[in-house]
Amino acid sequence: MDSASQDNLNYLLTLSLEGAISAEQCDELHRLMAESDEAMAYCLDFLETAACLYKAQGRLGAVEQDRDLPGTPEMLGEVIERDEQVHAREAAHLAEVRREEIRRAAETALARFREQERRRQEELAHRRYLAHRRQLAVGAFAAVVLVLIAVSVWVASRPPAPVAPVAEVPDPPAPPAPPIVAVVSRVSDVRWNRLDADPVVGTELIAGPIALDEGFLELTFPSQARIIVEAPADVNLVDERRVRLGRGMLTAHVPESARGFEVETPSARVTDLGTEFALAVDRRGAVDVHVLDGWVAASFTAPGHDDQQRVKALYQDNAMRFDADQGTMRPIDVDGERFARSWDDVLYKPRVGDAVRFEWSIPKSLREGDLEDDGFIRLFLERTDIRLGGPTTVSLTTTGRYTDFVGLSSSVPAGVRVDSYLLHWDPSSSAGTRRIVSGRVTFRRPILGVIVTAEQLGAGDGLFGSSDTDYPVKGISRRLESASDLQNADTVRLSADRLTLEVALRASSLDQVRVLVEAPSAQER
Amino acid sequence: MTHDAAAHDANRPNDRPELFLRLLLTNEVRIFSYILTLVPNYADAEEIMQETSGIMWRKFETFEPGTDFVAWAVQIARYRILDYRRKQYRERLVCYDSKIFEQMTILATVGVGQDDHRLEALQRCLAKLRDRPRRLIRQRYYEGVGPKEIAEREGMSIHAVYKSLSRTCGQLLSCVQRTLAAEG
Repeated sequence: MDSASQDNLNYLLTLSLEGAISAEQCDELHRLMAESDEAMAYCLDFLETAACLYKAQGRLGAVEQDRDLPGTPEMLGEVIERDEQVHAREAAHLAEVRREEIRRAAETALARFREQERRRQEELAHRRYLAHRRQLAVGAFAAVVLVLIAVSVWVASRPPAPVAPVAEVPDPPAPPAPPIVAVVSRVSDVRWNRLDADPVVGTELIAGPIALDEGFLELTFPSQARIIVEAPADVNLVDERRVRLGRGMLTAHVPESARGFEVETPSARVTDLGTEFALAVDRRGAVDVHVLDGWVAASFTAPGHDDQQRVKALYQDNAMRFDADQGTMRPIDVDGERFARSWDDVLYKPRVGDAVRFEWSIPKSLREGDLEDDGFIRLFLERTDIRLGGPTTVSLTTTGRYTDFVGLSSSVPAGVRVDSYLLHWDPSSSAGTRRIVSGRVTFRRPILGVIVTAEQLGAGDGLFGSSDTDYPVKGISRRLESASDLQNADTVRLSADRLTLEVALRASSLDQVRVLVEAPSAQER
Repeated sequence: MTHDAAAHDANRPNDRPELFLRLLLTNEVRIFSYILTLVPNYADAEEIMQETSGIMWRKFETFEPGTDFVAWAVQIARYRILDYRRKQYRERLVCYDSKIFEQMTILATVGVGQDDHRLEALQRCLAKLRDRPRRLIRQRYYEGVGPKEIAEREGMSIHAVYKSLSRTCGQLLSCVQRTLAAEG
């Protein structure tokens, strides 16, 4: 097979692998493969090589190093030919080394799993011991008090003993520095209890507990596993591949290179098998395990279950609740929306309630009639980090409940940076029926201004609107209607902490509300 | 792992998840290679791999320690692939026709049992790549960046990215074949 045919096969197979092959190109690939056994064998080899590249990511180190190779010939052929003789001798040795590495890695992993199981058994035994000790403690308490009183009377009656001089003892050698198990990769409004480190990006953390009182924290482990922890939470960094979540919510993103990463909770131990999953541990220690991508193995920690019952494989879009206290485990509805799956979620995704639905993707048109929905008020993030060049007119900036919007005007000062969101409700216009919906949205940063009048909405489309979206050109229907319009009267309430906006909308046509929220700081982003 | 050791591990209930993990991690590339040969699309092959892994775990009690784990896995994968093809056929999306699929199945089944040193050879060949193709390979396969984003990052058209990736994979294949041949 000549090199042109090989090039053609390479290209068609690459398109196929990437899901970019057309029907005609697929036919051509068939024709070439059917033409000769040689072509088919070549395709097989090509695909096996592609599989190695795709799956062996963490196992092939050489390509990770950025080397400067001035003078390397354009084509590989000649260099490869010359090197073959040398490498042939090295190959057998390298293969042996590689096999040995795999064997050692497997033995290490096995030892680690056994150690974990041993610790778990010890913990169970310790709990039983504590329970037994509590029973004994009550009876022993009175006797101990009597003995202490007797001893203290005796000690008080004795003259003080002379103090002997203390001999100089040489300082013991400094212990080795504890290993770094994770690095703080992102923070947002974090308050924690670690005394050995500040919650700033780049902080290296050794093993130990973190009580996260406020904010969101992203940690990256040497294996490139990432977790996002939402306060309030108690997390214990055990080692580079293991954390304990005693309370709170956590999302884990585990690449191929970090397979086997574990999160222990009071009710289950979750071993990742290349995936994204989220955990929520409540006050009693029960844990909800939500698999958002890939799959995990979850080991129930309650006693009284054999291995078949204890270990569950959970797959994408499945969730299970483990409750060691009650000794139960049961499937639950998967709910990825509860969790911060990405840092964008942390920074920009508000919590919504009732009829409000947040959508990341903003449509091409938000004009009347283009996105009708009777039941839901859609919320879109229009633009982020907009610096106001001058004072900007909005409808309202102060907290309270509003029902009259005529002539409503306030101002957001110049220099402020804001993110812009748009609430959009466009009920179907059939038969002119008036519909009512209500909902609320809670942001993580303060609401600086709310725009509800048609003029202000139109004036702000250029600055705050998405550049890829068509907004209503004219017309007053997008505004909120005042209480004087009894049939269409709308209500808006801005909470005292300025974080929550509640709306009750009554309309037979479009209503829009633009919300300007303080933008996250550069450090948070 | 020796057969005795595997049997010993498998007889202890608490060790079964660990044994499964160990066998899966050690043989994952081979199993995925088999799937990708018959389903030449990364996204679909990955999905089948995930499903296969799940079924393997659920059926792991039927696996006899000491027997060929890859052969057992490939049997399971094959049913998933046939399911996938049925679904694709209904949606008129099948790429391999039946004849080619059958031939590739035979070739892939024969190939999956061979103990070659493809990974070691590939590693050495990767080290010989020039900077730009190595950068593209790194982004695509190590960082998981899609061709479209690579095109934006590198200031290339997506067509040029496909071309470059296909050329580099072809060169790597030639290099791997020569290396394996030299090793005998």
